Amino acid sequence: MSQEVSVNPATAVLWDPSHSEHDMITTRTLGFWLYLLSDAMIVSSLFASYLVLDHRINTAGGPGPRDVIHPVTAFWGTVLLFSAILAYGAAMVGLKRGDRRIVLAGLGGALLLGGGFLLVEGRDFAQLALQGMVPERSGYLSAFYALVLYHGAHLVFGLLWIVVMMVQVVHIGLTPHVVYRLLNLKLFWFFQGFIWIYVFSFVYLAGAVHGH
Amino acid sequence: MLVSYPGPWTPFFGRLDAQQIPLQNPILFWTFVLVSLGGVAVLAAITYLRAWGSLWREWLTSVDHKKIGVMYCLLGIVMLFRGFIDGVMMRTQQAMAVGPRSPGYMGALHGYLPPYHFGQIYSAHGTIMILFAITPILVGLMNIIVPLQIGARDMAYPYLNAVSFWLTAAATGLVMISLFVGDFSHAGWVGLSPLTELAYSPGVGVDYWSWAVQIGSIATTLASINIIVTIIKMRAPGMTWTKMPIFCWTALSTSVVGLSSFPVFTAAVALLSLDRYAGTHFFTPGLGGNLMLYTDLFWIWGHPEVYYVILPAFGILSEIIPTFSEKPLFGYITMAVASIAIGGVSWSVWLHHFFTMGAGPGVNAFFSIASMLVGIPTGVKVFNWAFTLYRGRVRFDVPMLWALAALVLLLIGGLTGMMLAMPAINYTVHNSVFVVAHFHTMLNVVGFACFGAINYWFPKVFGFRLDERTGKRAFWFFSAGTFVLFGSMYALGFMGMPRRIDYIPFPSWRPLLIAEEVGIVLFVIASYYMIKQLVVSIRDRVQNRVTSSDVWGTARSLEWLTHSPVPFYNFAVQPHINARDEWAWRREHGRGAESPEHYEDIHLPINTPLPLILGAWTFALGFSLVWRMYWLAALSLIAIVVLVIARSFQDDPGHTVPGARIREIEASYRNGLEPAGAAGDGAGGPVAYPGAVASRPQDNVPARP
Amino acid sequence: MVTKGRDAWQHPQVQLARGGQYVGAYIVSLLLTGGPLWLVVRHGGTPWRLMIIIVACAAALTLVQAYFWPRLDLSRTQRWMTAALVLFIPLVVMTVGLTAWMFATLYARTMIPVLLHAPAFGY
Repeated sequence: MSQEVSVNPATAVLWDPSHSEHDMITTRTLGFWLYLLSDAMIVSSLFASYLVLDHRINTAGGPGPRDVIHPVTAFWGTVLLFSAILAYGAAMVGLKRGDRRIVLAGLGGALLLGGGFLLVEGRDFAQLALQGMVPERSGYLSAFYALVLYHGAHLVFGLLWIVVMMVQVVHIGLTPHVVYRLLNLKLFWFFQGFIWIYVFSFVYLAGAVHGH
Repeated sequence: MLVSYPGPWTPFFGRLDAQQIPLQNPILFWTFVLVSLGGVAVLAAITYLRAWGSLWREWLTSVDHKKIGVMYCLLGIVMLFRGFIDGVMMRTQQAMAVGPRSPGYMGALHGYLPPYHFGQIYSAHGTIMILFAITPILVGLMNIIVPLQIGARDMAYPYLNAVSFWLTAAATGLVMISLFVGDFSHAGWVGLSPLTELAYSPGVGVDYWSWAVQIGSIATTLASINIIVTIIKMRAPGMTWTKMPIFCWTALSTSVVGLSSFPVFTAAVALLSLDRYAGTHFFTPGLGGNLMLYTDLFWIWGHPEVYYVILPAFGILSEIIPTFSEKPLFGYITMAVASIAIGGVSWSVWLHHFFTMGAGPGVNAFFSIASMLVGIPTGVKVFNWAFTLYRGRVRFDVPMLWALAALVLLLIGGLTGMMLAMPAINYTVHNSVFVVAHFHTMLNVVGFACFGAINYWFPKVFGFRLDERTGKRAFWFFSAGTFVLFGSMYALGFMGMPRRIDYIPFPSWRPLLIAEEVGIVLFVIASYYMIKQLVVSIRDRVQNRVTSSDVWGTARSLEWLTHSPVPFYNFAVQPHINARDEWAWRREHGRGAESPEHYEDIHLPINTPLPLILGAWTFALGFSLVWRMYWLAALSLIAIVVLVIARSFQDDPGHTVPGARIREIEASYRNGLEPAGAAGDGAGGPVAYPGAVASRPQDNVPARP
Repeated sequence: MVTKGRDAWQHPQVQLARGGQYVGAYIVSLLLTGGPLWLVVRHGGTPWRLMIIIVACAAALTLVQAYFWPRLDLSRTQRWMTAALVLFIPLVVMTVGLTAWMFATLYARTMIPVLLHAPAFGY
């Protein structure tokens, strides 16, 4: 294969001493986004499992989608969740201006609204558990809880991260490292919203359509 | 929430008690004695050489990609040896336990291994060879070579790199400790469902397997991210995509495959663990579980994983063959496209691992055609290598021998793979040793490429060559073993011998089984020569020292531009890329000897013990989950979270090596002096070898507070 | 290694934030989840038609949120993220879709007697 050489070998530049910097923030956010996409593959496997186990035989004579799925409750959770994302958006607007107070207010809002989502979901599941609809009951319920709670686990982790970031914004300030973490958390927070879109659409809405 | 299982449980020790240490088994007892003696000897040697300090400062806490890569390779080679011994044991059992009149020893009815022990050995062999031997060696090679080939100073995330390594080490530790505490899974490396369920495997073996592979697959996912971002973001100025070496292309493709497929594996095994710990019913035969779902999820990962290991091997061949043909690689663009295409197609072929599951003809046909499509880009590659050899000045150095033999094996493995891609043939040979022979041929392609790569890049990393004579002997015995063993196995597969059996009922198969045993003996001789090669080379390291950067004289890519061994900063000044094979281009245009005029300060990350500590806690987490010591599991998890958060409060300020110091080191390299001065304490360094340690001058680089 | 010479929040990725677009995406998101919910609860249509609406709304939501929230577009700062996402979508579709396809007829084919006449999906 011929080499597509257009430079004159006698005068070609061999070294590039000035090129020592690379953009740390973009590098970090790209890596974290790739990590989130790998997480999306876990979510896909859980969705695939749910799709396979969402069958009459897999309920083993126990409760099916119609019994465990409350789409209206889930919608109130959705409102809270999207509001939490919007609050984080406010923090991002604050960051754009370099205003720590808006950042903290946005993070605090996301914390409260995200916590609210967890309360709504937790109450729903506590009621189901009291009626004996637990993951151990059947393959269908195992898949249902695994999928929905995997999203819930993201939220718990996200809340912990928000707390850490609030402390860092106060104590460290908006240094490049704090900024890239805020950007990563932004990606993470939006990403769990993506998961929820599919959980809400394909578990809650589709389940209410098909039922048992 | 938590399930019940047979056997005692105490809050503090969980399921663990003294009886779990299987000292009554003579094989395990003597292994234990040998491993203990070996461990004591190694620790004593380190103490005697007063190497603890430098081991800790320069290796265990290192964030230098070359040192992490070397540690990956060492880990993989040790595990390769462990998996090989498992293979020897299996072959020997199958050669002994033939026919109803074959004698039994040590509690076995036939041969010397009872079925349960045999099951553990073949499960351990598969798991270790694929996940804890080949994968670490390849990740290690990518770690060392990719930043050098793209002219980068380190990986994109040096700290994450160390974390990935120590997580892999933790997972490996779990597999190894299962030898002496409890037992290992007997359900195959694939985790045959529903045999892996608690009802059928109530012991801890499956738990050891499942936690080890989960930790290992998280580590591989992280390593894949690192390599992808390194290649995208850290290429030297001038290195456009079409100037990137093919090994980097394959590393990119393989990392994309790893990044996207390993999470599915994590998910599948995590759901299995939920079944075993929380009593859910994902894969149980009753109460609405679907055991075929596990098989499906497993192979969604399993098949891309096969390409995860083969693609870097293709990259290695694409580096070795041009060097020893003294010609540029034929068909660069098609090679790059084929690398990406193989990664892409790998995602739509997984069902060919279970054509017999009973999916419809439409499904089987789709996956059959997709599987055959893989042959196209692979064929393109083989032809490109052949055309590279054509009219080249071919030299038969040790790396080239391994590469050429890998091509022959690739042809055999590829053709049998085409056969297996046809459902009609697949139905008849499913679960026979024909399949085993096929994938061992393919994995031997990877193995041959790795041995070639080790011989090829060893002088670049360590500064002295591996011994040629013993290396050739190792190669010939290894090749002979491969052909004798797996040739016989193909024949046995056609005769219908099933895989994974500890007793062979038909004496007519004995001659071929004995031929397989002969093959494994040849492997044993080959491994003797491999060890001898290493020992001889280290002994004669002064004669074998290389002084030039281009060790083979005809190498082409960028890693041969910098010194051998590579200094801790890789390149004194960032090179500017003018051509596809930059080093060959400079050499051929007479500019290979030029060095930069100005040296600037170099900024490098600081070493940290945190990855090692995280790995230790992860090991504790896995071990406590295996034995259901829930307090320790909770403690480890909290410790990991706290450490990660604490690290985020303490940013790595890095340290700066002054340009004047770089100039000194570069000058000593050019004068052909012992390059030991290039070692920066706590800052990476050329990979140290015995003898270089003593003469190293004290460095003024600040150590970590 | 770090962004020198300016404040970190002036990094282009931070400067992507747009308050108005966030609010707009928020409202559209609520409409695209609340709308199908209203149809489902009111049984406004055949199951088949409802499923099409649900899938269409989920796809639209994905586009709206991906563009207006993490701002995945083809600009210089974002293009690798966008490329990565686009490359992953086929993998997600294949994981879920091919699995669903192979299991769709599997129960009937594996001859579990009670299931011989079971429909592929649903109840």
